[in-house]
Formats: sequence, C-alpha cells, structure tokens
Amino acid sequence: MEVVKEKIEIEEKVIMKVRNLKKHFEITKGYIKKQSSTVRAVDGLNFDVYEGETLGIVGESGCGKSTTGQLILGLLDATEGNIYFDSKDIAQMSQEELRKARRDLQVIFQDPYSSLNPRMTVEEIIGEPLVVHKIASGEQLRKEVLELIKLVGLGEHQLKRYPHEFSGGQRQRIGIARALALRPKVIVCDEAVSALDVSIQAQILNLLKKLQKELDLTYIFIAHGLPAVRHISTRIGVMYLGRMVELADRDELFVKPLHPYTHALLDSVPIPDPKLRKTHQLIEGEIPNPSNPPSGCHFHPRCSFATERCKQESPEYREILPRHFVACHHPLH
Amino acid sequence: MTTTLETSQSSLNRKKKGRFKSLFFRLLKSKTGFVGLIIVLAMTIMAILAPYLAMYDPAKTNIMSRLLPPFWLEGGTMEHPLGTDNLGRDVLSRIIYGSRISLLVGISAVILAGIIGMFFGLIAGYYGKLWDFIIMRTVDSFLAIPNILFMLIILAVLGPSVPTLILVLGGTSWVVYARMVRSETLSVKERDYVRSARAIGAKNFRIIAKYVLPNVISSFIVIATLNVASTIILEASLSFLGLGIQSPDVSWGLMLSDGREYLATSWWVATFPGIAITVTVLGVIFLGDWLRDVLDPKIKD
Amino acid sequence: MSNPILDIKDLRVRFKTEDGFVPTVNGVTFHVNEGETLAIVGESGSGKSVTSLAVMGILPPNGEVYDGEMTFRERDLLKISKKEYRALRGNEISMIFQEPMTALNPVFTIGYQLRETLILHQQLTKEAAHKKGIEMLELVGIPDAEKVMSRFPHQLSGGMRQRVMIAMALSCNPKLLIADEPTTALDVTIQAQILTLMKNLKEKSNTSILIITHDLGVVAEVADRVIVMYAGEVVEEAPVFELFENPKHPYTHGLMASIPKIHDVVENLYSIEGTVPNPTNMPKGCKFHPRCPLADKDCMTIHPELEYINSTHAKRCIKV
Repeated sequence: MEVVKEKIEIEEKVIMKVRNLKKHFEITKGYIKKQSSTVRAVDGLNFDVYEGETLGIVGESGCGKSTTGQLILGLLDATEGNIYFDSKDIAQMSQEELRKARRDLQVIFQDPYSSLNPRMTVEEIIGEPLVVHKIASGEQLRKEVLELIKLVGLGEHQLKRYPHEFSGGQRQRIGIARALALRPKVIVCDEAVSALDVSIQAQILNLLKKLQKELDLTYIFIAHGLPAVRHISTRIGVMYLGRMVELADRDELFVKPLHPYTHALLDSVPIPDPKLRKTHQLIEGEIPNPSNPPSGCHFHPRCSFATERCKQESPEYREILPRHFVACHHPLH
Repeated sequence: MTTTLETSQSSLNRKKKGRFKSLFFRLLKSKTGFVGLIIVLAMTIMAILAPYLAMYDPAKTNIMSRLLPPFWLEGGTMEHPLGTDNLGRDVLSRIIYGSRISLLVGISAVILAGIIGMFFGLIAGYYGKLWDFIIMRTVDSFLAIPNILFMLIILAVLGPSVPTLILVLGGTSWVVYARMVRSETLSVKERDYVRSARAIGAKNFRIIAKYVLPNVISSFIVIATLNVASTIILEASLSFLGLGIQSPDVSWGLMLSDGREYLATSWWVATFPGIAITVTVLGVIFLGDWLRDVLDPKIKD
Repeated sequence: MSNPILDIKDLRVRFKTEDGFVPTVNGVTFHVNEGETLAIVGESGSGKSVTSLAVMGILPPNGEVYDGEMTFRERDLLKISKKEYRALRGNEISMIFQEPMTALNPVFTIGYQLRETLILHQQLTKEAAHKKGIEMLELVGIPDAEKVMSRFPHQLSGGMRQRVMIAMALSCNPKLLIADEPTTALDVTIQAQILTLMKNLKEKSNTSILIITHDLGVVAEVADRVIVMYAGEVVEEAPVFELFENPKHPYTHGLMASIPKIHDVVENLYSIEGTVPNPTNMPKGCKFHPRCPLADKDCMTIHPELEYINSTHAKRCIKV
C-alpha cells in the first residue's frame, strides 16, 4: 500500500461549469383548499469540474446532492441556471440534443439491485447504449461488449445470464460496464458504493480508480459516506439544504475545514479505532425540513458560532483561500 | 434482517435449472395450481374436439325425447347421459359444444380488453400529465356506468352476435387493465433501471417496450387470467338475460337461461351447464392464483 | 468476571426453502456479560441478523433453530413456552431495528404505543404509563416530549423515530437490548447523536447491549467486546481494543484494511477478492479459503475450530 503524499496534480481545464443552478419542486396538498409549498432542493449552485478530476459531493439527506446529480445528467429540468458542458448548456438542451449529449455523460447508480433491468441479459444491458446510438451491431457489438465486461473484471461466460444471478458487487460492475460503453468523458457516480458491503466497496472503489486512469475519466462522485469520498476524490464539495457550503481540495477540506458544518460532519464519522474513541462534538438538533429552511444561513440553528447576522443574512459563497470556497460569515481557523 | 434473508433467497434462485423446468416443478408442488391447469387443459381440449366428442348435434331437437332425466334417474338412458332439455336436445352434447363459445368469448374478450387497457395504461402511466388526465377520467366514467345495463343497451342496439358480444365485453372491461397497468407503470417508471435507460439516451418507445412492458406483464397476465373467469360468467349473465348468444348457437349461459323455466321439474337442464361454468371458472382462478405466486417474486428480481 | 446474562452455545439456524434446508447460522457460540456491549460484525450473508432474531425468538416462519443452546438468565430459551417468550420480549429483552418506521405502527400515536408497552408489561395504570412515557422520551433526548406523545410516527424524522424506538425498548428496563443496525439508516450527524445516547444510557442503566452492525466505525465507538462473523460462523472474538490492535483472522484483517480511512489516504484500498459464498454451496474446509491470501492446501480440507489464544481472544484459522 503506497501512501500518496500531498501531490495532487492541478489540472485547470474546466470540463463542466455549473452556474446559479436551481431546482424547486412545487408540492400541493389538499384538494379543496390547495396549499402549495416550494421545496428548494437545489438553491443556487456554482462550481466547476476539472477534466480528469474526481469531484466529490457530500451531504446528508435533504441536502440536494442527488438532485444535483440528476440535473447534471439532464434527468431533471432545472428551474434556473446553467450547466455548461463542452460549451453547451445542458439545462437548455432539447430532448434530442440531450440524448446525443449523453454519449459523453454517464451515470452509475446506487442500488445495483434496482438499476439493472431484470428482464435483460447482461449482454443486452452492456451493449444497449451502443445499439441505441447505432454505434455497433452484430459481431462488432459482441466484441465491444466482451471488451467491456473484461474491463470491469467479469468473464465472457457471464454474458448470457440475468442480473438476479449476480451478487451486489458483480451487478455494480455490470452497471459500470454499461456506463463505460459509450466512452463518456464524465461519469456521475450517484452513491455508487453506498449499498455495498465493506469488502466489496473496496473492490469497486479500486476499480473506479483504475478505470479513471486508463480511460481519462472525470468523476462526479456523490455520496454520504465520507471515508469513501475522501478516498476517491481530488476535490470535495459539502452541501447543506440545497446549497454548497464549502468546496476545497480533498486534504485541505479534511485538515482545515472552514465551515462549522463541515467540521461537525467530519467529526461525526465514527472512526474504526477504539483508541480514538471520543466524545463527539455533537451537532444539536435535526436536519431542518427542506420545504421550510431556516432564514439566513440555513445552518444557523445548529451552529455554535451563529450570530444575529447569520439569522438574517444568507452568507455569500466565495473563494476565501485559493481553491477553497466557503459560504459562512464566520469561517473557522 | 431482510437483507440477509433476501440474499440467501436470491442466491438460491441463482442456482438455476432452466426457467420452464423450474416453473413446471413449482406447478407440481402447488396442488390447486395443478388442478387448475388440468381443468383448463381439459376444457380447451373439449372445445377443440367438440365435433368428435359430442354424440349429437347440439341444435338437433327431438320432440319424442323431451326433458329426459340423467341416466341414473328413473326414465334416464345412457343414450342421453345427462338427460335432454325441453326441445329434446342432448344436454351433454350441448355442454361440450357450449364450451366453444363460452371459452371463445371469455378468452377473446379478455385479449381485446387487455390490449386496449395495456395500451392506454402504458400511455397514461408513462407520459402522465394531460394524457394521464384524459385517459383516467375516461376510465372513471366507464366505471361509473352500471356495467350490465351499458352492455345490454349496446347489445340491444347492435343486435346480439358472438363478435358484438366479444366487442362489448372487451370494450367495457379494458378499464380494469388500464388502471392496473398505469399504476404498475408509475412504480416501474421510478426504478433506477428506467432512469438508466434515459441516461444512455434511449428513446421513449424503446423504454416502454424493453423496460416498462416486460416488467408489468406478469401482474397483467395474472389479472387477465382471473378475468377470463369473470368474463365467462358475464357472458352467461348476458345470455341468461336474452341478449347474449342466440339459438341455434349454444353457450353455457344460454343453456342456463333455457333451463330456468324447468328448474322445478327438470333441474338437470340448468344445473349441468351451471356446474360446467363453476368448474371452469374455479380452474381458471386456481391457475391464475398459482400464476400470481409464481410470477410475482420474479418481479422483485 | 461478571456473569453472562445471555449464553449461546453452538447455535444452528436453517431456513426451509423450495430446494430444501439452507443453513445460515452454523454453530455460533458467544455470551453477553452483564452491563457489557457486545458487537457482532459481519457483511450481508454472515448470519449476524439471523442470530439476533433467533435470540429474540422471532425468526421468520420458514426459519428454525435446529441445534444448540440459548440461555438467558438461567432460562433455556429453546424450552420456554411461546407465552413465556412473549413475556420476556419487550420486558427483559428488547430490540431496536434498522428502520424504526417498520417497527412502529403507523396508525397509532407514539403515546399510545408507549403506553401499551408499559401497561402490558409493567401493569401500570393509563395515567402512570403516560407519565412514564413522557419521562422515557425525555430520557432519550426528545424535546417537547408531551407534544411528541400525540404525534404519529410519520410526523417524526428518522432520528426522532429511532429515539422513540429506543425509549420504547428501554421503557421496561430490559436486561438485554438487541440493536440491529440501529444507525445504518441515519445521517452521520444523527448517527453520532444516537451512538452517544446509547453509550450514555448504558452507563446509567447497566443494560447489556448486543449490537449488530457492518460498520467497524460503530463497533470501535460503542463496543466492549466484538465477535466477527463470516458465512454463518464466528471467525474471531476479542475485546475491542485487542481486536483493532491485533486482528488475527485474515478476514478481520481484510475487513479492517478495506475501509477507507478518513485520516490516512492510500492510493489503492486493500480488497478481499471474490464474494461472500452462497449458503447452498459453501466451500469445503475453511469457508474463507477461496478469498484468503494465506490459504493453502490444508485450508481447503480442514474446517478450523474456534480456538482461544488467550482467555478472551479466539480465532478460527489454522494459519495464524
């Protein structure tokens, strides 16, 4: 096991630009007396994705990280804002343009049990993207599928089987092979290892890293499991109730978190070493309901540094150190 | 706890012995399912081979031997094992021939209703919004009309015949399938595998054909089988009311209707076709129940 | 050494399926001492949850204990009647589940469900039960306990529901609390709150806790002693400090090495190759040998016994 020292290559070529991205869901209750409320699932995101990096996005339930992933993939329509990818705006694309753009933009889902069509064989599942985009057929298709399945560590004899004949980890490999079929530039990993057992999770994380190197992939790695995110990401963004509260290079974020929420989040992760057993610096209270977020800084009711200003004024998301963005009136350190 | 149980369960399924072979083994294990299959097979064979099985022309009247009782009663003969009706027609032969129309109407009406219902259910569930609104409100209005009354009016206008009967039965019962397929589609649509199909850029038609349809079809088949039973009964009711099958055609429902006047004196005229209906319907229901047990876990896979 | 309140010897559980009996727990032996927290760690298919269900006497209808002994405070759990078992459950042994929503009845208020338990097991009057219920909710850190009593489960957040479950489980002062993945469904910040709560409650009440989890972080956080399960067997047993410092079994070793560390980043994670074996088709010899880096010919044929290397540390491996 080689330990990676500080060295993170800084690639400055931006492959995707997210600007002021918003997704609001209208929820109406009641038939006679209609009451509608707006859930601001994603409320003004700004970030860049660099070519060849892994951008981790972490957060707890209701923070909007999965919605963000779906917006980037064009699986949801944005309420406002832009997602520039290859100089085109995903948020403004027509259905047909989106379909074409998906060749460069793929996804790996969380639950390997529900993300594969139970009625298709592995060969059909992996080869389908090539068929849909009319890239390969017949013998050529077979060859490509074979190459893909070997790439993810499965064998030819498994091509004729159905998903339910595989274990969770194997299914996730099949899902990865399908995502790779179109040779995309960017892959959104939506909780891609969260549902897997520890030993299998390590296999998949290693595989993802290996593929990234071999195929020059850019990952957007969305997860709630901090250790996995730390392991695979080059930069990490932390979301809370629809907003990005902090974004920085991986080690910087872990060593020197500036936002009190990031700090508390890192501190909440149980560490697998009883000697480091400690009394947590607990964050009080619950995660507020996203349909009714607190005023000002969304985190203020749970924050021990909150002041009057935090209650009223929403903090600006800004680069207060080089490559280190934070949205807080009173950053730590 | 469920995860462990499920993994051990699904790993069992992994040990595969051909899909159909295992399906057959499961059928043997379920007694009711097996009985159902035997009954349905027997009825189908009877309908196909009717000309060879029946001893008499079902429409041939014979005034000399009116209302003969079954053979085990006094006055009965083995020439008419289940007796004869008021026009001297052989009850057994009529039951054998009657199975043709009863099954034909039952199965065709269900297929017709199934196709219509499947189509609209898929559209309403998959496209949602305005499509869903229009289709589901239509479904609601169909459900609001008393079924039999509606059918009687149409039959009275168009005039009763086998094709109209199929049309009317199918044209009114599609709503059941539409509702079921729509709700199944709504849940399948939210699964990640459908999302993954959109993510690779598959077109809507492909998603419906390869992702939604195959995953709603098992529940659909189950409901359809059960509906064959209720359609046979509906056909019987319509014939009983005089707007279904007309002589010289024969169906079980018509026989019931014919025998009604003689229930007090010659019970066999109405009772035997009644038994035929009951047995067939039971057989179909058994088969449908078993199909549900067998096909449903596969959906979870 | 204090007395074990729960003593399991050579427990074997199997499930009846279409293809015959499938053994899922194969000779599990462990005990829980008074006032101690024992953690059972394992991945899916290890039999850890089935073990806990067997102790509670709530195996699914197709599951059965077909061999072994289970003794709880000098009572033989395999001999007592269903009625006695029911009286035991919720009173002396109680359980909290991963997803509290499935364990709470959605059509009754929290207050009603809490009172029911207390009236049934402690023969309290309705008023007394109500008062005790509020006390319990306050104990598990629920603000506005009075109000929460009249809420329905779906009106509470996941963390709150888990607190309610714990309040309910503790309301009859059980001697043993079984917690099956109690924090797996919760967010990290809420998980930290619940784990701290469990630790505090244990100190106050001296309840023994049997916690089932796949998360070594949770184990390190709360356990006194740990057993590691793999393929229906205990492969290692040790006090928590010793286990993390000096894991013996290659599986335990691999498990620890394969977790990404938050403070120590490596390029490639250690990974245990292959997958958990299928219970219908267990490997011969040591069940871990197909995935084990140390395995040799002996491992394919010899099924190792659980042997103690000192009074508290046991391993099931012939190689180390």
